[in-house]
Amino acid sequence: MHISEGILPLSWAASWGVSSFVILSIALKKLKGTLERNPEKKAFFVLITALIFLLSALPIPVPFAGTCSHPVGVGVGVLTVGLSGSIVAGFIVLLLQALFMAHGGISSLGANVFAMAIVGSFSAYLVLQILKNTGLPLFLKGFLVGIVADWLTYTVTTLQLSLALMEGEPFFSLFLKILLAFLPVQGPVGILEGLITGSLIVALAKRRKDLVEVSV
Amino acid sequence: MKGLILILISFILLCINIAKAGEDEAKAEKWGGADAVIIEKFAQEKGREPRAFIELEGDLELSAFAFFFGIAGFIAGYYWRKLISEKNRATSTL
Repeated sequence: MHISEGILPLSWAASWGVSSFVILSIALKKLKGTLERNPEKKAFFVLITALIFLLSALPIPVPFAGTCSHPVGVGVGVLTVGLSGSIVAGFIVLLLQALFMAHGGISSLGANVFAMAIVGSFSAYLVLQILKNTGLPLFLKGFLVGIVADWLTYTVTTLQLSLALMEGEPFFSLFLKILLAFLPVQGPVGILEGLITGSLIVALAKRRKDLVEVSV
Repeated sequence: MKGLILILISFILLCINIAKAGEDEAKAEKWGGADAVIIEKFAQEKGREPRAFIELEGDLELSAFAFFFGIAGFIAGYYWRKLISEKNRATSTL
């Protein structure tokens, strides 16, 4: 979902940038408060940011599509450091990838942050809230959180591209075309991300139940 | 649970069929990243040329990935040990 430099027109890049900046400042303020109240979570936030960094740049080959793609990792973020922590971690990761790894871009940073860090985290948070008090096994909760965060991130990237590139073409037709192009690649990667998220959260809950956001 | 598994299997089969339908297109850039194969392809079709914020030519990209993955892996491993393994050992001996 890393949209490169030069793809989005300036107006769209600025709009996504401003929207992301507003939400990011609120998340940053909330995270600061949380970390002041629980200083132990600072180290945990660093660990989760490093994990999101690794997951969101790891190219996974999808054999029957002949293409590689990567998970987004924010599902793990929401389950461990909460919504605001996941948003801030996602921003740090995308900034580093744009600056040093030629992944994404600075003008498109707002759009990428909006898709992955904000919508990915919000959707994961929403699924978590719905499933929190259900009797589903922890692995299944993690699986669903991971899969929804991944697919929603790519749906928003599709929306951003369709809005930016629709000149002379109906929006819905372009949206569907890009979504169908993503489906064979991101469908299986999303399922894999669900499995990774579920396994990670079970492994964490077994060792440090107190650090996991979801009730076990 | 059975229903969920059935839905997942149907979805995977659907993905395989869609992938086969677009096989010729994918062959052009075998194993390329989805960002380049899908996002940049659509952008180029619409006349928007993607460019990198920093150019990492040749093995420089590999170096950058290896370097940052190494650092991130070290940080993740270090804090996992500090927060999860050591704490877990400490509480289980109490």
